[in-house]
Amino acid sequence: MGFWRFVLKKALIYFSVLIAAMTILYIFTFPILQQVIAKSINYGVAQYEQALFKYSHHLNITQVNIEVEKYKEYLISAYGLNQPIINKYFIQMYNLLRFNFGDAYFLQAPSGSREVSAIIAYYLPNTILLFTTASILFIIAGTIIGLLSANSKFWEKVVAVIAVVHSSLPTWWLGFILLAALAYSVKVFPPGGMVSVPPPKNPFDYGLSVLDHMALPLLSIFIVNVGGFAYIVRSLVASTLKEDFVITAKARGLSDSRILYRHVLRTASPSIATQAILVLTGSLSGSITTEIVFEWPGVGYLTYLAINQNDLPVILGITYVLTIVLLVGLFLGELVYGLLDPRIKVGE
Amino acid sequence: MSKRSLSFSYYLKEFLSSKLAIAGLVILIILLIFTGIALSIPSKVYSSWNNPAAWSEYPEHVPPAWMSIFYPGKYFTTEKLSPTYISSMSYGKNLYVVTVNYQFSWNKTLPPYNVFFFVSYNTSPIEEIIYWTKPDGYTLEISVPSTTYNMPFDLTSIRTDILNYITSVTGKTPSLVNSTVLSSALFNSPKSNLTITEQGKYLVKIEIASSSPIKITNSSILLIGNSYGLMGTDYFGRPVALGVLLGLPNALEIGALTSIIAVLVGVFAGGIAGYLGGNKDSGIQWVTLVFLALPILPFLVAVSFAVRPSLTLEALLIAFLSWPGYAIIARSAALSIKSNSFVEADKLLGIPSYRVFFTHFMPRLIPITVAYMALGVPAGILTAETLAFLGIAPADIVTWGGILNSAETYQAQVNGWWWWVVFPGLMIVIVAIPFILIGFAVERVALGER
Repeated sequence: MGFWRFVLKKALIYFSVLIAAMTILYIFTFPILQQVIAKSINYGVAQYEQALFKYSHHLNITQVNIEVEKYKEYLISAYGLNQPIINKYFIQMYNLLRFNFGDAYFLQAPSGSREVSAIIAYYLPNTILLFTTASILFIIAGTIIGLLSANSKFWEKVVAVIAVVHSSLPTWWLGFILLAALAYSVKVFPPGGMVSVPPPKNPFDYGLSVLDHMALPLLSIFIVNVGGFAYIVRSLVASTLKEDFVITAKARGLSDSRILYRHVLRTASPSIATQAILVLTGSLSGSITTEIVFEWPGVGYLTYLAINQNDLPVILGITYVLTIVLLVGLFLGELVYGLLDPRIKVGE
Repeated sequence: MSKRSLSFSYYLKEFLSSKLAIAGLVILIILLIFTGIALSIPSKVYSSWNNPAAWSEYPEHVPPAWMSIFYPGKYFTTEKLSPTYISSMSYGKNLYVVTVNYQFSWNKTLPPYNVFFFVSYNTSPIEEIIYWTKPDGYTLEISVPSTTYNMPFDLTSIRTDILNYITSVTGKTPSLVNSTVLSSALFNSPKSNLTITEQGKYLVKIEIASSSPIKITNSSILLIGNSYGLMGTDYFGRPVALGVLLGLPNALEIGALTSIIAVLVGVFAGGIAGYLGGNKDSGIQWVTLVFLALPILPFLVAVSFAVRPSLTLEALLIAFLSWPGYAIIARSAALSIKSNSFVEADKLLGIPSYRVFFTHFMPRLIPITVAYMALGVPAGILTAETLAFLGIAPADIVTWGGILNSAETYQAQVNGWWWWVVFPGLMIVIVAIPFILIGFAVERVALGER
């Protein structure tokens, strides 16, 4: 069972990476974290004080103040502010692993909850929907283009030019242009959002409406990434084509397409998977920024809202959640790599 | 690979024989010339960029001037008029009157976007009146309010008399009062209910009366056009071309800085990992993975709330998060170098391993290092501009991302102000092209034909 040992080993490595990444984030965001915690303590104390004045008429002002002080002490020790820095760190790590990011300053989830984790839980699936669909599309298309262009000098040049132009395009700017051209000048696509307003009741119509709204953001992520990925696949396939086993296969009289799809693609696929993971991590920034232009309710759009309102807890929460999402993505990529590489299956 | 010469001149010759490289170098030199021009612009312009008052004499959100090639007569640029003559008279001891006369012919089908008047003199006047004579001979009398004496003013500051005139001609008060409405009152014929522009000679007389002798120090009229410059203007009247130019030096600086640091760190880490192998390799790979997992964008957003980044700090932070990609590439390159027999030979000869690393191993990584330094510049620029688009950029610099951010805020895509969106974004692409061309050329020289 070489594969399961591989999975277990990778899972352990990725968990340790998660802890390390969180620690780096903690170090870099330490000052704002303290600010956020202090603010939320003050908010809690103020609410408690109001409640006391409202409901506990038997207390006089001095007694209320004492109660409030007590409550403040309690909150401070609960958040670990009076602890040495090492304990603070562990309390924070524990909170983060439980997705406890505290309350947002201003933003709200549509359910009315002010908890950061609830807000992110509402926005994150939309990002995953858009980003995963776009990634699958451009990885498949890029692989096909890369394979088809591997044998021809002419297509090599075409793919190189496309790669140059595409990889330097900002995804969000392309989205901006597409939006201005295809949604406002020529009204082919809806100008933004995720579903039409009011949302259709019928689930099928709802799905169609989402697809219609998704078309332009999908197109911009696809255009920006497909060229670069095709170029990478092309160079990987081209170097595999020079291997001896390809010549052997040719000598055996196998057809070109059979060699390309059965032999070359098989051999090159683990490295293609590795490259795909790198491309995915690279395209995340551009993709989530594209959401802003299209007002797609994902984490990128949420980041924009949070920046405009200085909502620090939300920004911190997004950073932590995206780190986890990225790690899960990388981990899944590793698993695909493990499935594709026969050496891992037999446990070498 | 081991058979080929590794000398610098060999690489340079190969590099310069590539058409890609030459094209890239030419574009790069052009960009550097523009950078030089941008750096010679006084810092006053940079600091006034975010001050809307500094751009009041520019037409707001108008398209580029070259649009007039496609739509002749519909687009025109700002015209500056100088007085044809200035006459002064005195009536008795305590009344001095100066008239500044202008004459111009207007042959366009549209009125100007706005009209600016500049008159400055050495005394405080009793009265300042503009006599605006249209080609048909009708003269409109506009008195200038005392608050704008001795100051530049536009049509909106003298709107009272013009509005009265509009009401007297059309019979109703306009619901929307902006410079275009006021300007059409001055330029359109009353016969057509102020809808068709009167073409012909206009006479403008500005009369200033004062109790002491008047000396005009400066006077001119600006007929503001409805198109401007190479790239039009934005919502506040700022020329987009100027913004694009001002954004060039900092984009190149941040891109180059990011790329150099990230590639050096990445190649060094990846090179060591590939060279040492074993446990140390796994360790370095683990660190690489940690940094790969940190999402650049939200991380930088979060950090920027802790410290307002300067340009250098921002570059350092971007490099800090983007080196792992280069480390992975360098490691696989190092593994292929390690399989060469000269490494084995060095070991057998008893040469210390650090010396093998620095004298035989690392030099072979230099070509790909150079290639990725070039390829990394656009990536750095892209990250910095994306951050600026989100509203996070070092203070008091102009960034293309920042310009696009305000275009998004003021709904340029909805209003059809395409020039505000297209040109800054296009610059991000144009700046990337030479670096990618050079990077590809170097990569090709370094690895041979792939």
